[in-house]
Amino acid sequence: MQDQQILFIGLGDAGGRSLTQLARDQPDHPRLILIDTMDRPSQLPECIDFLRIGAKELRAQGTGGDPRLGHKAMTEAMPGLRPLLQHVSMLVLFAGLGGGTGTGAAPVILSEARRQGILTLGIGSLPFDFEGPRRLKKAEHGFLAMQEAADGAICLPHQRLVTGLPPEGLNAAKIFRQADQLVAQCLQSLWQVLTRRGVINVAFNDLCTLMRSGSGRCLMVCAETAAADKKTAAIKLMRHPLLEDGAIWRAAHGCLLNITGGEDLTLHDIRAIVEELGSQLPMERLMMTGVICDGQLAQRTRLVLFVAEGSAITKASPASPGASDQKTISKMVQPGLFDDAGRGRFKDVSPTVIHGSNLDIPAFIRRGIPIQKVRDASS
Amino acid sequence: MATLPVVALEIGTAKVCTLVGEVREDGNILITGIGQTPSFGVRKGQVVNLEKVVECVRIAIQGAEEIGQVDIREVNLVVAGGDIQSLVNPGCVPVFDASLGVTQDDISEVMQIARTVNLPPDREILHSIAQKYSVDFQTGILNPEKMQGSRLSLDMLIMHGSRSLLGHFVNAVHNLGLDVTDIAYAGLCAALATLTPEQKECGALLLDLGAGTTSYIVYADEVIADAGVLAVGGDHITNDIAQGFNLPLKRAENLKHNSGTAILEENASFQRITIPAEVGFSACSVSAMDLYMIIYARVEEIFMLVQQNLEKKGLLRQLGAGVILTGGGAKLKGITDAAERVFDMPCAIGRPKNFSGMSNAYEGAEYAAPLGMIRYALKNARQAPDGGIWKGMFKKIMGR
Repeated sequence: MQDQQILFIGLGDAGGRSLTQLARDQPDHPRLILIDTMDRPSQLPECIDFLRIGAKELRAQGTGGDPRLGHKAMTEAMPGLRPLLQHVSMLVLFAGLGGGTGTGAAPVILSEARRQGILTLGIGSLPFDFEGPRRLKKAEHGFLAMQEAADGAICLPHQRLVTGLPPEGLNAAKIFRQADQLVAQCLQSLWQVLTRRGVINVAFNDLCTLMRSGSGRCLMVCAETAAADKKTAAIKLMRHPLLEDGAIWRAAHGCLLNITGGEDLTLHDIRAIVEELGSQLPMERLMMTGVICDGQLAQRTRLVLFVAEGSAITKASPASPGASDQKTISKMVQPGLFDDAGRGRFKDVSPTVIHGSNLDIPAFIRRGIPIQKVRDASS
Repeated sequence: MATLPVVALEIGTAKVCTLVGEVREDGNILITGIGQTPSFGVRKGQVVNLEKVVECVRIAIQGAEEIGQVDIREVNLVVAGGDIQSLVNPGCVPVFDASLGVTQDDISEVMQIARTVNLPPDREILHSIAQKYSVDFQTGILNPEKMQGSRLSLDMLIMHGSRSLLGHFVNAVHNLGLDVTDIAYAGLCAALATLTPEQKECGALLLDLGAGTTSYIVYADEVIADAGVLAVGGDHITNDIAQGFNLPLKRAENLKHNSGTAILEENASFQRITIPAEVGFSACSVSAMDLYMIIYARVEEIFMLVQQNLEKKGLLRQLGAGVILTGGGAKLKGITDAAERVFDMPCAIGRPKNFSGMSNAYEGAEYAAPLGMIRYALKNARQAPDGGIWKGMFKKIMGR
């Protein structure tokens, strides 16, 4: 893997913040490029390349939340990006979805990269509920387009970070910082999983196979521990807010676990971690466990779990014994998030899924083609 | 040659259609009756409301009975829904007496063996079509009779569908007190109605573009090489338009019929299409470019799925006669241009051949499947051993 060149692209505001965080946390990070319709952020580290798109039309004032403008600006700026994609073998693209730049530009970059034979992975974060249903809808469509354009796509629904938190825990600045950290952590873990050769190796295609199963929505969660008892990492992982008390796992189509440990990682530890997860969650969903032994990671253990969410949004499957609050899964999976987006007439028949894309969803949405809504004939 | 009239019934996603036909002395088929009604209760080629489907079938049958002056007791069912798939199953037998060469008995035996396939319990075989024989190491033989060798093998194309989904169609017919004589795959029927022997010989792809499903069948090297159904069709285009412009389905459907196009015309980029006012809806306009983009994205995707599938199987280079489009979807403006762009070979609308009688039934490509069903049913009824590829055709009657 080392000889392959990996490129990380961040889009828009959210992309900038996450790349900055990543550059700080991971000194040996891959090549980073930020693409935005605004000016270069002043606090952006030197190691991150910056590409401004739509310079003429948008005059560095952003897209005003219109994905059409983001799409157009990126299409026009493509000749500028193409040389940067040369010799790249794998592209990871992150965009905060729901706005104009990320939602509109992501599918353009991904499909161009894929055309050039680059392995592509898109990561999209979905907005918080309070940002309004319009933004969420835009984000859903944006994610579908991303999924269609890339080899694999990972979804990070930010709203899940706050569900279940007590009202006093909802410090706005803290939550947003947490959201950025979550993305940076995911990018970092992904970079490690993809570049470090494991004892049991997780390859790019293993991830893509997982991502294309289930409802097509895949999320990733990470946990790290420095404790001598490696099981703590598993306990921490299961408490991750994105998993919603394990409900997401229980309804999942499949999962892929990667364990990274130092020289001290023993087979016993690995078994203890997997057993700890298995004590609370159905293990038949676990498709693969990758193991990486990293000498630099002294005493610490890092877990990354990729979850392909199931499409069933029915009643909760029997919760694990001892789970006190049996929330229904239907509440947690945010019904209709992707499964019904745009299916319209075909809502009540089984979906036609070929090569991982749901053909009942309009083709133009999946391809990220922006459409103007109707206008009154008088206007 | 007086033959009894044959009735073909197609329960589609957009329409339910009944045709009555009989063979004339010159071998052509005379269409004597037609009954048609918009379909309710079918989605993506699957029955979702049996009651409504029964009612639609009743209207279509009555219409055909009145026009054709016949009393319909049994029908031949054309199916495109029901999760139809195909696979190639090889069969192999030792030649009974090597000194005599391959005999008819050997051929029947190898057919029987190639036809036996292990399918999941909920699958039903619709057709089994003989492809090519091989004798010892010589492959690609169309008729192995009297050839010398010790081992005879045959590739059989098995088309199978979901028993429960196909059963719903049969139930709808049974509910009216009618019998189902035969069931055939829509793509095969459409090919029987429109393709000439020359086209089959050169290799051709037939796409039957229905509202709920797209059926395809490939003739290559003088045999049916592949066939299948995608549960995507014209309804998806309508739904895409409705979603894209936030229109009710009915208005989206009208927009597709009146202004829809799968090819971009000059000067269309800045044009706007006005949708007239209706009760409850004011007049509005959409961009012509956007409408084209929505339609083309979908049409191209459907064609691409078929194209990629054929490319994987190495069949694309064997289609000398190009692509033939039939079904209601073939009425969409610019559809042949869109197909040409994707497949990169000549594409044409299929016209049913050697039919006479009610011209509205056989002039368009829309009725290709039920017309072909009449030919298929007549052929099977006569049991004519006409050789060639149909010889190995085996029918399976459902639900009886």
